[in-house]
Amino acid sequence: MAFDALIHQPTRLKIMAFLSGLPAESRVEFSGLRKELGLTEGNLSRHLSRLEEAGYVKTEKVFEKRKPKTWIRLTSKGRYALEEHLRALQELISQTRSGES
Amino acid sequence: MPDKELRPDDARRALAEIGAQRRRARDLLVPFLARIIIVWGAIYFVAYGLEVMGVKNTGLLWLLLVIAGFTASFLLGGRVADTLRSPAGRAIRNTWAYLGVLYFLLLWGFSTTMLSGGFFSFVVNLFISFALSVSGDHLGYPQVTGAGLALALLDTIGYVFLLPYYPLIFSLLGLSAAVYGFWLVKKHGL
Repeated sequence: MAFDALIHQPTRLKIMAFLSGLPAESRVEFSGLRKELGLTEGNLSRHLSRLEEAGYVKTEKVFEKRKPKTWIRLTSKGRYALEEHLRALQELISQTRSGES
Repeated sequence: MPDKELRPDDARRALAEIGAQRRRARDLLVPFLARIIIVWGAIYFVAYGLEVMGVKNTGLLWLLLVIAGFTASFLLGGRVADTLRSPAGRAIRNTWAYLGVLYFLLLWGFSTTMLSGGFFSFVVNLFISFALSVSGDHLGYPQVTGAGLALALLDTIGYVFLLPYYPLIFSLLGLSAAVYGFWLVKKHGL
């Protein structure tokens, strides 16, 4: 189990959790993700860069009908890291519960 | 952030946030599911309903409705593929396309061998229940997979034990499905 400080940051946690809720290997467009998460372009960009540097997400920039689009997907490394982080959180809660009883 | 700085309340909040965001992501697929349910519910309700009312020679109507159903399901799968760039969408689109081909082969086979229309409906409904289960599997919705299997079971029980009531059962099932689809649309404000 590994607590992941990079993922735990609230905005990045939102991004990772949202992407993990999509069907496997799905990609979502930048503006759609921004709208769903209620983030500004700059904020989303900044956090995506951090996640991409860690290899947790993959972004792909393409031109569609002459318009630039950015597609984002969770990598298998990212999915694994989120699951490990989730387990670490659950473990912490269950340890607290057993300590209280 | 080291472990010691994380409090249980933070962990609970983070878990709640993960759950909420995953539900939000899954809700993106609800419009597609709701529309597939409405399309097939309406087809079953109208076509079987006409048979219940004693309308004869509904074959051509059935054919047109089923073509419309396969086309709509194929296009909806395509929209999932385009909106989410999801392999699930492509898989759904392909499943319904293959089913369309199988339907026409079945239709051809049955029309040349003059087998009963009841048996034809039974087989087509088995195919549709299979496509529904596969679609649910691809989308990660076990409820849809379960609904497909339940449809197959109902299809078999209806055909084997309740043949005179088969059109009535499927007409009511179609009506319920369409109502459920519209409820989903209303609930999610689509």
